[in-house]
Amino acid sequence: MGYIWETENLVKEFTLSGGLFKPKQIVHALQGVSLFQEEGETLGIVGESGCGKSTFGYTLMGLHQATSGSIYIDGHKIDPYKKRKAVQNVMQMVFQNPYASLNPRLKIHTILEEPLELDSQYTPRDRSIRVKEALEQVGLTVAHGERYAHELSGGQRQRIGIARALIMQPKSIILDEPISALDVSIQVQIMTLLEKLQALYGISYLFISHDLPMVRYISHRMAVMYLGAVMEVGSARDVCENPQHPYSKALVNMIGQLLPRAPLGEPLRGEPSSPLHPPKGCLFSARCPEAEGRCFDQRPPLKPWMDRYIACWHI
Amino acid sequence: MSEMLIDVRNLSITIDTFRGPLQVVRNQDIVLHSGEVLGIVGESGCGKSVMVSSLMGLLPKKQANIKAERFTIGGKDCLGFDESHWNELRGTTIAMVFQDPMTSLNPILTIGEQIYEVIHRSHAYGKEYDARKIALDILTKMGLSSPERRLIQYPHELSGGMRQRVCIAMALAGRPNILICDEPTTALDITTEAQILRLLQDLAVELGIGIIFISHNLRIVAQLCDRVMVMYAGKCVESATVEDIFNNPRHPYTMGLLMSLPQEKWHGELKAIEGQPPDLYELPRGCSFTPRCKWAMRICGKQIPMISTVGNHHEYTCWLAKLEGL
Repeated sequence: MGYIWETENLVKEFTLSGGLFKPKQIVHALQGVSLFQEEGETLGIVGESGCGKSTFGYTLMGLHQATSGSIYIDGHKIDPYKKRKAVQNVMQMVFQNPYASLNPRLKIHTILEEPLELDSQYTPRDRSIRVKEALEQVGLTVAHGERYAHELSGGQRQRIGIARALIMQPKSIILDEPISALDVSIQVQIMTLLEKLQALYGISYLFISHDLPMVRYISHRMAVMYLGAVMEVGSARDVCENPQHPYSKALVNMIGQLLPRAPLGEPLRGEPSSPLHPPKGCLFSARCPEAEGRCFDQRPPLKPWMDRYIACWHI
Repeated sequence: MSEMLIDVRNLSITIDTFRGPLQVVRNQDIVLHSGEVLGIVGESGCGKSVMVSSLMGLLPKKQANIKAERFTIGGKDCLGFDESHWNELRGTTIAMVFQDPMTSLNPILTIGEQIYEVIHRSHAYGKEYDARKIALDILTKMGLSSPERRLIQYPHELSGGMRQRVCIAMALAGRPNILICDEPTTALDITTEAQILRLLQDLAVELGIGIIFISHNLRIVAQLCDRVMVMYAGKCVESATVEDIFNNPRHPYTMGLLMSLPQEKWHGELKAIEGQPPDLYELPRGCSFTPRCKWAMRICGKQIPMISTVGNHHEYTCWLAKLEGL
């Protein structure tokens, strides 16, 4: 079975423009990310802020142009930055902040209709039927389509965000922190909606979040990112229950249990290294309790181990 | 017997808005003992932040109308306090750490200047003291690396986790015995979160400071707190020890919140609480959780339930208690 999308050594660098006396600096946001997605599966990406998980979603979607590396869709190499059309029927995106990602001047049904207007096969009548369908798919009614974004609650707005992604009937949806701006009880409503849509339509999700328990809950496979590179990728169950990479271990240990007076999570020492000057060796070496000799000089490749991939010299 | 730091009874807060008066907190009791960590849990808009702001005297006098039977903080009756009284109390008896360390520090003053200010205002150090030494001492205790350098740095030079440590250091510089933390780790990464929580736990255990910890992260509340208040639409619906809340929840809202977390660390199915939190302007009659409650009965939509008590001060307000004959 082919992959919906596949990235090979994806690199994204941002250049910070220097001042009069300041040289230009390069932010190494993605340092060679190779991931793929199968049909109907959820791939979760976890990591601290600044680890490049959102940049990966944006680059894959063609909202950032990759510095180097390749993106394959259905086995064909494409540049989503230039060929937006090739991507839009395969991938769509839901953004983090449902308050900022909907145009406040447009009615909801106009927002939802907009992507359909790009496709000439839809007549205006078809479009309004499709909008109605999409609203119902996310548990809203036609009446909600007549409102403006500010008249809806946060959870309803995020449902509109999902409806807008669904409307092009994509094979995969990139969800960039879709629940972190919502209240706990609303978060779960969105999670169950996502599960239901996946069961009904077989959509794949790229679920980007820093909430490890939630990622574990919804994902089939999971990638742990640190400083713009994948540290460990494998089935969500393996990674969470038997983490192998020191960073995944640290992440899992930090969660602690949902039990009264359970010991607090074990903190990880230090601050993440700056993406301006990533370490020469293993990216995690500066904070790794197991780091030694070779870890500081050579960067470990992402090697297969059992049925997952791990980037660590100790494995 | 530990000392009672906060004793507030029957607190109601009404705020004048453009749409008329809005009752944000209704008939609420808050009690905090020394060395205790009190967790307050609830969705946004349930009034938890307004409630703790009233404890700091931070609500605008003109718009906010605070009524209470008793309102004592650190043994002083604060109900009639004016701004100068509050200034005496703030920082020295009660201090607060805010959610966003990016915006709660002054960007044009160095870290040192901001901490010295608190030390100078505090009476805890007497007449003769070395502010720099005290500040260094606190920063070291907060686990900040190279504290001497931090004193002359500006907030923008520090990372989020470091800034939040500075905020806690500032709050503690006046030697308060009450610390209010309003979602102190929400804006932080999980790695920094774990460090900050360690710090707070040590404060309560070692210094005997009473901590009010507001959060919507139940996992942290379970690990950190001694007693938990669950708030819904301006009212505490359940209040009990952390063991009772998590092992033996009584109120349907508390149960719903617990069901909506991935349990047992990873497993278990998530169950959502359907519906939206109510609009405080148009609260439903009776119990405000009725429209979302799975077990709602006819009486729930008519009358507000009374407080029922079981076991060890385990209080909850639900008509289901009547079925159990409580």
